[in-house]
Amino acid sequence: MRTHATSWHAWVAVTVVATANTGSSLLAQSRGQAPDERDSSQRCGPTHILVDSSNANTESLLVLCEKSGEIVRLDRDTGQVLNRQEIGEEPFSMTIGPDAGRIYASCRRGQEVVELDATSLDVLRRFPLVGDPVGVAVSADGSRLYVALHSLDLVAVVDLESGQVTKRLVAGNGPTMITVLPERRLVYVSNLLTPPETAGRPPYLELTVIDDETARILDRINLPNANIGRWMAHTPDEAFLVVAISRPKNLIPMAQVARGWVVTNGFALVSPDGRHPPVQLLVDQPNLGVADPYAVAMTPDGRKFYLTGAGVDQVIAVDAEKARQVMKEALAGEIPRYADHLGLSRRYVVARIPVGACPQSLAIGSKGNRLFVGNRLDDTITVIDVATDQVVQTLTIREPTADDRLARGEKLFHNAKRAFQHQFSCVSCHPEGGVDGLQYDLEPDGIGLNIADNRNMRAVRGTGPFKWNGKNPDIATQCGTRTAKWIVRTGWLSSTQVVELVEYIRSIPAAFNPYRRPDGRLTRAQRRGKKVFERTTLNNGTPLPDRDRCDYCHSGPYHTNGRKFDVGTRGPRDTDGEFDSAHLINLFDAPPYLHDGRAPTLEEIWTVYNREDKHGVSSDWTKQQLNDLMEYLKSL
Amino acid sequence: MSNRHVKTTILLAGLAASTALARPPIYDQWTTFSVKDGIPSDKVFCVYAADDFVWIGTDHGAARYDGTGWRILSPKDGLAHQAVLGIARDPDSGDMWFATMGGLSRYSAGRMDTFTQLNSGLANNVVYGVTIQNGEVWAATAAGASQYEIAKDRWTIHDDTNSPMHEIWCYSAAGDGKRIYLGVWGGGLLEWDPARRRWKDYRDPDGEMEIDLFRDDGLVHDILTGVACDRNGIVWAGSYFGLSSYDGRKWRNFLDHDSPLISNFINAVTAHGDFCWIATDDGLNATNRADWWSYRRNEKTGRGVVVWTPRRGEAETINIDSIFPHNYVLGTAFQKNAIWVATEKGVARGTPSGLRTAAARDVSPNSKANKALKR
Repeated sequence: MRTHATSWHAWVAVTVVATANTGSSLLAQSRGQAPDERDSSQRCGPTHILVDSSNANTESLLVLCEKSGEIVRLDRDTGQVLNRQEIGEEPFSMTIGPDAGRIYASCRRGQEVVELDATSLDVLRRFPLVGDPVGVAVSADGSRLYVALHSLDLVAVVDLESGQVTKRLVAGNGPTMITVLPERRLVYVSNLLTPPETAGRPPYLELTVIDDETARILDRINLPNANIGRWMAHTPDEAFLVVAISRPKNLIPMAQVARGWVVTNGFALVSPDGRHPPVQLLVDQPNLGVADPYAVAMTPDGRKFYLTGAGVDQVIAVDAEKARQVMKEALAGEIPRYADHLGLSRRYVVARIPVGACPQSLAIGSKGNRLFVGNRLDDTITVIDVATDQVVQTLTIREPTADDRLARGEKLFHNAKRAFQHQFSCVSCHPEGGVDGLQYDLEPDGIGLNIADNRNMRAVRGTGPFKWNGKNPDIATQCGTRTAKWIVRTGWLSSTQVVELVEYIRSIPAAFNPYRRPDGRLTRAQRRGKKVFERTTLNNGTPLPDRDRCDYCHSGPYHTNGRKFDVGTRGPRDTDGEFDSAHLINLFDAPPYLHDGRAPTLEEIWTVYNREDKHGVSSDWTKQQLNDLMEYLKSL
Repeated sequence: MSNRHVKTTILLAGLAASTALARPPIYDQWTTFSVKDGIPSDKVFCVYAADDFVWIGTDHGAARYDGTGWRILSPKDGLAHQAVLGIARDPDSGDMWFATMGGLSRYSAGRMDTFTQLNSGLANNVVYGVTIQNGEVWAATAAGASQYEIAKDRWTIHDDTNSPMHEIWCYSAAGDGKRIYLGVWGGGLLEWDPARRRWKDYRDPDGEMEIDLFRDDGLVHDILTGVACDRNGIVWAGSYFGLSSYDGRKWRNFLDHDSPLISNFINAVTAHGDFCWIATDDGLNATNRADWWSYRRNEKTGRGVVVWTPRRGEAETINIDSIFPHNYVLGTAFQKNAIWVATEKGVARGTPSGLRTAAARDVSPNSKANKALKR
């Protein structure tokens, strides 16, 4: 075990990541959508960094590049590219095996994990892993690889000798990153979202714990009032684990944005030995947020950890001992409402360091004196002196290319600096372009009225009008003045910037659909479900009026006719009973369902909330028909 | 001694040893757990034992025994319904699955997920049995069987529309590592071949309710209550009219009047080692198709009677001081050297003290020993 730890330290692998909102034009085309307009071939998009100190003379940096599909080895001091290797579509994160000879990198869009020779970067094996593979980690004994399958809510366990998946464990909602505590033989899995069942209630995040010896689920730790779980790092003695989280206050009216506390940001301190309950602390200041906490890295001595604020282009340095002291006081009841306390951060945040655009990965050099920050949206790496917390260098992986409107739009989407007090960016509520699974009360129509479920931003091109009430005819209306007035509450964007943002949003591709066969053919159950979807008569042969057919409202390439209908779902807080016919692309990807998120599962749309047969006639369906329809809908 | 003789001797010794190992011990030391010991109800429908915990399902929730005490799970904890009829463990994840009268619940490291006919593809909320094999959950429900592929989050219903399910009231599910078997109330035994994705049905050839016309011609009866697969490839099917077993080629059936089977009214069957354990309304049996154990409680004295009836040789009656709390037995499970027996008056753990059988004279089904066990 100690040997492992030593060799692991030779490759100080730390934090990481990136949103996967860029993607494959092939997939878009296969769905009948417009091809991806973005030309990302000249961009890198660093999503993960490892420091390679296996060479005694010099350290080098290994960088996963999401946009170019490469792994790149850089000279640590000059940023010169020493080696590069194409590995697959949309690399996301990587880890190093205990013997330091192998690297395992996940490729989200490629639906695989790639095994690389750590020296030559040659591809040795490919493990197909459908389900949006993201976080990866190798077991302490080196025999197994854990892979978070984000869209299936599973952790795949791969036997590294045979290359076979031996089991798939059920994680929380959207497992994201995985970290192994080798001495304790524990595996921690962060999850992105609150379970869909929490609609209308405070969210919570699950931290899934796996026994590394048996590869079985050992514990599920709930972090109340948290959402968007990202990266984790642990102290060298494995006494504490730090998890990057957000703490949304979505159940209060968005008017509170003006008071600075609708979305707050910070970390959870988790005690793996269970001696202390998890404690959540913020890194925001009373009048300035640190939107989108993402990557975390711990110094080798455990005295300090760093957290990126991807939405504010900052790295936050936290004195670990001071944070633990606050934690003790909090647990002793000495600090009321500590988890929402915007003033506490002054006690443990020791530096707020400006870096490049959208910092989503971190790594610390083997000597612990240098912090490397991967800035995903400007293809740079910021080098920070750990002793002084000063930026000492910026390495450029690729020179900026010609003016790129989409790139500017992508930066706008990911940047919170235009929101009031930098509280949140578009990504804060639309992680990876999708949804945060929460419901919000926007008050233009009255406080406490028309609580609306957040809607997916993936593959929205051509699916207008927008909003559940269908009042916004296009994305520009949705994301322009309306956003300025009712959401970010600032001057927001210039008209040119709105165009750039809209262009980027229109380019966000659909998520990879694990329920769809690679060749696009439907399974037998899906074909049967399609018949239900398109049926023109009841089971007894009675003709169905057009409006009672699924494919009337959900028609066309995006399965929406763009009109509003009363489907019998008006609730006591709704001022209108008619709602926009939602498009059905990537339906599997966006629970909960219906305008206020009341249906945690697709089935409940009809089994619970369609008692009057207003949402299509479903009362004559057999259970078989319902199941078949679910299979079809998930394939869209 | 020649090499050949040495090999033969070793072989015989090995056979003898394996036979001895395969024979269950005499469980003569019993501890009963009832409501006063912390279980939620004395009416224990089922029991499941793993290395670390024992789980029971009752009419008032499930409970877990960790060796020292019981922890109860009820609908307040998210359990689908208080009546828990079946329990299974996912060997991959360690997750527990509960078949209840209100759906299927998964208990995973403190998290309870419930699957019902309203929020999932589950065929029906009344779930009598559950088993997990190769990453698939099979639920025997009152409206067919549900197959849930965990990794694909995909449900498939098997009922009269897509399988030879004469009735859709599925009562029990078991797997042999490859195939799945369903015990169907009125529909006989169904065998699912996952490679061919096809069902094969086994029915009572005579179709008679009251009699078994020809011996060993197939299932004793179409109304099955339990099914189990042992390590030798034998499928066991319990009914309210006797016991059936099928080795892939031949059937062997057992009735209370022509075998040591205590009662034809069988609530559940469990395979353990080479033996099938038969939970009846009047005691507990175990058999490997040749040798038999019978356990029965003397309700007057509270003491137990154990009868060992070997294939050859003489039956032997052993009186033991303690036994399970009631002869209405609903299920069995095994943990290390212990047997757990679910009854309508609590659950009991039996362990062997090392008692051994000795030869007895009377081996016939109507022997004094066996008669003593009959009602």
